[in-house]
Amino acid sequence: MKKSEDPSKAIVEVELTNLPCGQARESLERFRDGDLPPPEATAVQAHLSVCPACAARLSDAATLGALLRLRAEAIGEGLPGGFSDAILAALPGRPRPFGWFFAGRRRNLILGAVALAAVAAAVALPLVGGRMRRSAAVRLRAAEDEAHLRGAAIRRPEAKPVVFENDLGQTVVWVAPDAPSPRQQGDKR
Amino acid sequence: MSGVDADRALVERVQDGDRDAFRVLVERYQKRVYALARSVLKDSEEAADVTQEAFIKAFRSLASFKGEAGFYTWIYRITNNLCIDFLRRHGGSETVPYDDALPDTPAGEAPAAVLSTRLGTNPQRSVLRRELADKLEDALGQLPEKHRVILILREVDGLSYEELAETLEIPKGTVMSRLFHARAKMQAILADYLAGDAPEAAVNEEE
Repeated sequence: MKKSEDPSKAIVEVELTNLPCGQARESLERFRDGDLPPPEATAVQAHLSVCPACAARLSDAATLGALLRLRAEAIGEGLPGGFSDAILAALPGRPRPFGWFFAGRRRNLILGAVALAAVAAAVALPLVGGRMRRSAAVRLRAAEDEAHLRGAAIRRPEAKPVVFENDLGQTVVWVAPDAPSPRQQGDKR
Repeated sequence: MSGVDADRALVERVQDGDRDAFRVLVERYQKRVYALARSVLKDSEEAADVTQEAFIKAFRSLASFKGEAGFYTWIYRITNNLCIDFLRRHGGSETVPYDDALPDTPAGEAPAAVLSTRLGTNPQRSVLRRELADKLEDALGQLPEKHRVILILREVDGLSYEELAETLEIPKGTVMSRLFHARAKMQAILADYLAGDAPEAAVNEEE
């Protein structure tokens, strides 16, 4: 590398050593594909300017590329009409009302929220249920005590509260208010 | 917006459940995907089937598509893998075996400048007459499947060396080697044809 003889021109002349054809040809593909670093690309460019044979090979590569593109274009045009419709029709899943809302990332968000709610419920319900069960047991004892204390024991010492579980899983304490006394039963006879 | 960015925006819309956005992607790439499949598989219907399967597979997997690579490199990779699977299933494998690890044998030195002199460096559609088109198919058919694919992805789809390495899952050095030998062989076959066998096969449109 040497500086220009005219110091007022800040030009640096690059002395290029002409590449051997073999070396240039190894780099031609990468040169054409724009994959060579600038110094090597400059060297190949310089070689091409003085070597018609390598320049012709580069031109041949360009011709080959163009032929392949023409071929692909012709093939692509041979695709049956409505091909994209056939692909869309074969896709899994079908559009549904508000499908956009339930699909993709929104669906994932909703599913995430539902999953979170389910976990929260799984944790909370046993606690609430336990409280409910404890509450029913307390109520049962209170009812028994009350039933006993409210004269029922005096009037009908054999009467006991009826305890059962309803369809909602709640414990129900039912105290028959007007069960006939043995004496009344005896009166009927 | 660049093509890659536009594709990414479409992919996000599809991930949000917008099937019309997927239609845009299909219509943008179906011809290229089909041309790639048709370059590996000789039968048009088989290529069409693989093309359809590739898009359906892409749609199914789109939820997990991170967008780190371009949609096109992704759909090309799916297509290439489906073609290879198809060949294996149907016992076709490669018509010409090729092993990257083996030393390369010279494909035959093509006489320089025959292609570009006869056809120009930017040939038009009219040069692709029946005879030349058949010869092009014949030349491609003589290449190993790996060479056909890399040549199409580079020359037709314009993938960079890095994208080729990613799409084909091979080192960049192998990309360069395969491309070099694929081009050399194609040029040699076509140059032989143009130089001697069929002097009237093509006309230089630029002359």
